[in-house]
Amino acid sequence: MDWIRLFVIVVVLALGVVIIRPTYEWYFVVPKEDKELLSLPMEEVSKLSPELKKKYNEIKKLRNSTVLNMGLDLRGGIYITLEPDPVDMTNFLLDRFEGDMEKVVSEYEKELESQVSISLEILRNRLDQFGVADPVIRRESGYRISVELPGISSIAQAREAISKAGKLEFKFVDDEYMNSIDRKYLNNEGLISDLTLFLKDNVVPSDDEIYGYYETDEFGVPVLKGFIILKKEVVLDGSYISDARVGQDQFGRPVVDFSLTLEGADIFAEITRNNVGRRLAIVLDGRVRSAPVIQTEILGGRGQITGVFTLEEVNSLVSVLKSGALSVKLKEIEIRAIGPSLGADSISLGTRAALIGILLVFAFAIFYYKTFGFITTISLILNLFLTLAGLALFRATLTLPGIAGLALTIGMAIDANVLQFERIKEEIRNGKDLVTAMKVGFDKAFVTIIDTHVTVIISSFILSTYGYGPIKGFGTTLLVGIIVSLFTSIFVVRFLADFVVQKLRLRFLPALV
Amino acid sequence: MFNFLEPLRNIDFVKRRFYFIGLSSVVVLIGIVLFFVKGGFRQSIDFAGGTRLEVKINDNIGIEDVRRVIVSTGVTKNVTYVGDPKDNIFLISIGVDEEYVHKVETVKKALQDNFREVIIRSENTVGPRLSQEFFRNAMILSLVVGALILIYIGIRFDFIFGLGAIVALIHDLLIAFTVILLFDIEMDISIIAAILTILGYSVTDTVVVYDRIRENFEAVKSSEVEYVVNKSIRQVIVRSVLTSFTTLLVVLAFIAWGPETLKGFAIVLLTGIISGTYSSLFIASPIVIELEKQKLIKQEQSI
Repeated sequence: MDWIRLFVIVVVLALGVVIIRPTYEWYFVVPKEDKELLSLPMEEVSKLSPELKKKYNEIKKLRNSTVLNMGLDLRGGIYITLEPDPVDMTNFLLDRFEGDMEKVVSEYEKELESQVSISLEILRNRLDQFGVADPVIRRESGYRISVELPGISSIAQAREAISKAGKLEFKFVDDEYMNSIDRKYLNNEGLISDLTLFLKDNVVPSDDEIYGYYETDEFGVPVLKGFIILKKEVVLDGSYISDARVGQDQFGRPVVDFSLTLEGADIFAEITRNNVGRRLAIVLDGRVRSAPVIQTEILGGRGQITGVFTLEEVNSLVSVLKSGALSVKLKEIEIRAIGPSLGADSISLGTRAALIGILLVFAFAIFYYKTFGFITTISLILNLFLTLAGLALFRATLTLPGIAGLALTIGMAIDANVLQFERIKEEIRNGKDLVTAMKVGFDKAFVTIIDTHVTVIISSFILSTYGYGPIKGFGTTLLVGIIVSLFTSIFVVRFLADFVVQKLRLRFLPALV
Repeated sequence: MFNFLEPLRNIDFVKRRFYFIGLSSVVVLIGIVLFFVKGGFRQSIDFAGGTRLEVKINDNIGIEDVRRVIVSTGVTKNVTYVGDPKDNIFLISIGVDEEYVHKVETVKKALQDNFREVIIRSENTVGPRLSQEFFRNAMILSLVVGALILIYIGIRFDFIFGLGAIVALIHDLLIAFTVILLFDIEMDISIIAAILTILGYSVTDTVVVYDRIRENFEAVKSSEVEYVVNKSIRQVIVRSVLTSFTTLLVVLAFIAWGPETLKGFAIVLLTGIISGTYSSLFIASPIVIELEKQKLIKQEQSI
């Protein structure tokens, strides 16, 4: 039994080390100037030297792994909550359903849902271009979006970054020119890989423009794949798109189905009839997001974009197309600027207070429980480490109330040990020897520990799932901390206590009293 | 054998239960009086909506000078010190309306025109709509958490125990609110987080005591109820005092050395820990005595 315990403890700790490593690297290993690479706008990144580009990709990968995030209250920045403006939304739907109020009411929720997902796409795209170090864009409960912009202090600047609407255009790819380019400038996706090198040796036709080609990665962030040459002329813009949906082709692969307005249908029919075989690029905010080949003439204003898409790409493209139809403004519900100076002294003071508190607890435990108090101390240190790893795993954000919650968890974790040790003392008072007392004491305390932990798990789960902002952060930390505390008190403390008493046969040290 | 907490075990708690109930009632009564005297809680912008500017002014001036400048703009009168007055950090609150963006700029400009070195440390703006929702969210969460815990205790123990736990819980919340009023703590998000923690902490403590009572209640007669509850309290009291003491160490560290923003949070938690321990022993347990006795007497008569 004991060895099984040891095995579980070792496995859990090893996992903890693996999970916490990226956090350690990000905060303590990666130099500041390397982190600043991430705040470059995409266009700048494409101009970097190959080794810097490699570094950029490495750091981006690290940042998107299990790194524990610092909340805005700790590092300063701007926090914004947005939702589609209800008045604007109603007017937009009234237009779409030609004044049919009943239909507006019945379709409202569904439309709101799609507006939110479009807005998310547009915001991601915008902030990426804007060059914020690592913006956090989240879908919140209800039809809300929260945006965190660390390191920006001007509210006006933040408003500017998020308030512009997306611009969707269709332009032809200059296939003829693209096909004439020497292979050595292209990557395996047929895009120009190194623009500087290419422009040194080639001249782009005067009625053409160079665009970046972007695909959405697994984190929903548009990533630059290379460059493509388009004709300057805008053949169709987003206002002719009426709707876009995720569909399936005959092989069950995801595709994008879109429909056009009456006017758009006529224009599109003409374009497709005359240009079968050419590629038509879909450009959002000056970035090419897809360049499908026109297969046949498209009549009736319903088209389909096929190709090898992952579901993420299809979803993202649907949002891009819909954004053309987007005319609903986002309403700002809340905007907070949090000065980093406040963050800096709060974090140092908060951390210091937490450390002092925890050290006091350690000192008291050793003073009152002797050797077992020392065991408690070891298990509490492991507890702290595993809690941080758990938070990193859940991609949680550490906030100021979160740090308090962390310290509090330590206080509550010790409760489980106190329950165990007091029980053991009681059994000794009843005349049992130490080994028997430990067995009975641990078993009896187990029931109580489960009961108390379940109640806290229930409440912290509710807080972390349904709470707003800081309440959520507090709840998440508490939830992770309390689950870890259950593990350390049941596995670690019991194993160590048994080990010390039975294997080391304490002769000179007082075990408990 | 070195155990300075052992004497606690010799007190007859159950016999003195009415003193404890009386003491709590007095504290809660003070809270109710304060509530009406002060006209409710001091709400932060999280609930009331508005903008809060925290500024540090490195000139040799006092709060009166700052207030004079702010009042002259006609926007707000609300200026307070943050932390130590020597630091010259001020908190300026501005109510929310359609014009608030403009108002905030006016205030900032007035400060910068009148003083030499003005550092805007933080600016928080919350629309009043979110604040109402926020309050609703917090209230609903409290109710849901309370209900779920009640159900859990009802399943694990007995309906009577569930009632006792809820009474202890409400007791702890009332005590916490009294302290919030007493120290004039501003209600903000962190205070709500503290109150929610108290919910969990209070129940945890009550569950530990109840666990013991349940264990000792095997085949108990109605005449023995008081004796058994007293025995349970005596067995558990050392653990309860120790645990609250260690948790208090952490909270006290926050009160002594923590950031200003968490002072209120720490004070409310401190209250919750003390009253949570106290109520689990001296409020929750006596309630079980009365009700369990009635139940057992009924059972004994029906045999």
